[in-house]
Amino acid sequence: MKSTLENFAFVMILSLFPIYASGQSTADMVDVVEPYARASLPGISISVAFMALKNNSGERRTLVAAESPVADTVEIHNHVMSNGMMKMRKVAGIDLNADDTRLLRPGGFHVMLIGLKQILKHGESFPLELIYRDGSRDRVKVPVVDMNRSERFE
Amino acid sequence: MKNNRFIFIGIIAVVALSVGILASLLANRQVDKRQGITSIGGDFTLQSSHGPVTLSKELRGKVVPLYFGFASCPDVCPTSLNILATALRQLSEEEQRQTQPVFVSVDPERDDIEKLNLYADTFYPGMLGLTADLETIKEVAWRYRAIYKKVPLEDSAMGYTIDHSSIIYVIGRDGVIQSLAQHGTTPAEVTAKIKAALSNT
Ligand SMILES: [Cu+2]
Repeated sequence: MKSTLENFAFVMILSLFPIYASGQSTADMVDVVEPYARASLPGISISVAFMALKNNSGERRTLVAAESPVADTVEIHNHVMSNGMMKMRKVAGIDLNADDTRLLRPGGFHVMLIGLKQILKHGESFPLELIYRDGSRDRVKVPVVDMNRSERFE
Repeated sequence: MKNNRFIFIGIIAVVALSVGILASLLANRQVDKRQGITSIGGDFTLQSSHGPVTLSKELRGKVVPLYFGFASCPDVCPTSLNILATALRQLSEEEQRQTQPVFVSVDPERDDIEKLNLYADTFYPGMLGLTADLETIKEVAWRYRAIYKKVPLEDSAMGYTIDHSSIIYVIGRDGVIQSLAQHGTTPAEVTAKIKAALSNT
C-alpha cells in the first residue's frame, strides 16, 4: 500500500500520459480494460457499466464497491440464469485471483448505477471509482456508449 | 424458522414444477408449418399511450415480435430489445412495415404507459410499449408461459427486481406464435424467424 501522498503524486504524473485519460487504470495493478457504460434511457434513472478487470498485482484482489458522482448509489451486481429466469442480484464482491481477468459483460457481472443524477449521453464520459477489499481505489474514466450505435453481442 | 423453510421448499417445488411443465410444453409442441405453436399464447388487450391495443384487432395482419420485461431492467431487457431492433433493421422497408414489435412491461407499478412508449421507441421507432393492471399482465404472461417474479433486494438501493424469462415470441399475422427466440439469441436468428413468419401466409 502506497501512502495517499505517493498515490496522489503517482496519479498526477500518470495523468500527463494519454493512456490514463483513455480509461486505462494504472493504480494498484488491476487494469480496467475497455470500460463503457450504456447511455441512459428516457425516464430511466439507472444504467450499467461493463469492463474487463485484469489483475496484474500478483496477489488476490476483491472488488467490493464502486462510487461515481453521476449516481446516488453504485453497486456490484451479477446475473444468473436459473429456472428459466434471468436473476439479477447484488454481490458482496468480485474475486480476482493473481493474474486473473474477469469480464463484466451483458448478462453477467456489471457495475450498476442507481439513481442517476444526470443523463448519460453517447460520446461523453464520467469518472468511476472502483474500491477493493484492502481499501485501495482505482479511478477510471468510463465512456458512454449508445447501444444503437455499437453493441457488442457476446 | 421451520415455517420459512417449508415455504422455501414449497416455492422451489412450484418453480420446478412450472419449469417442468414449460419444458414439456415446448418439447411436445406441435409445430405445424401453417398453424405455428398453438399450445401457448393467444389474444390479449393491453394499454398503450395511444389507448388499448388488441392483438386480434390493431395488430392483426402484422407479424408481432413480442418481449416481456420491465423498463428499469438495466441489462437483460435492453440487450434483448437491442438484438430485436438490430434484427428488425435487417428487414426490407416493406417487411418492416408489416412487422410491429411489442415490449410488454410486467412492472406496471414502476412503468407507466407514457414512459413505456418513450422507452420502446428509443430502441426502434414505432416499437410499442404496452402494459396493464397486474392481474391482466399475470394472465397474459401465464398464457405465453412468460415467467416472472418480483423479488425484494434488501441489500440494494434497487428496492426490488423482477426475475424473468427472456424470450422473443414471433407471433404470426393470424395471432398464432410462429417461433420463439430464447435468451442468448442473435440478431440474425431473430431476422430469420421474423422473415419466416412474414412469408407464412
Ligand atoms: Cu444490476
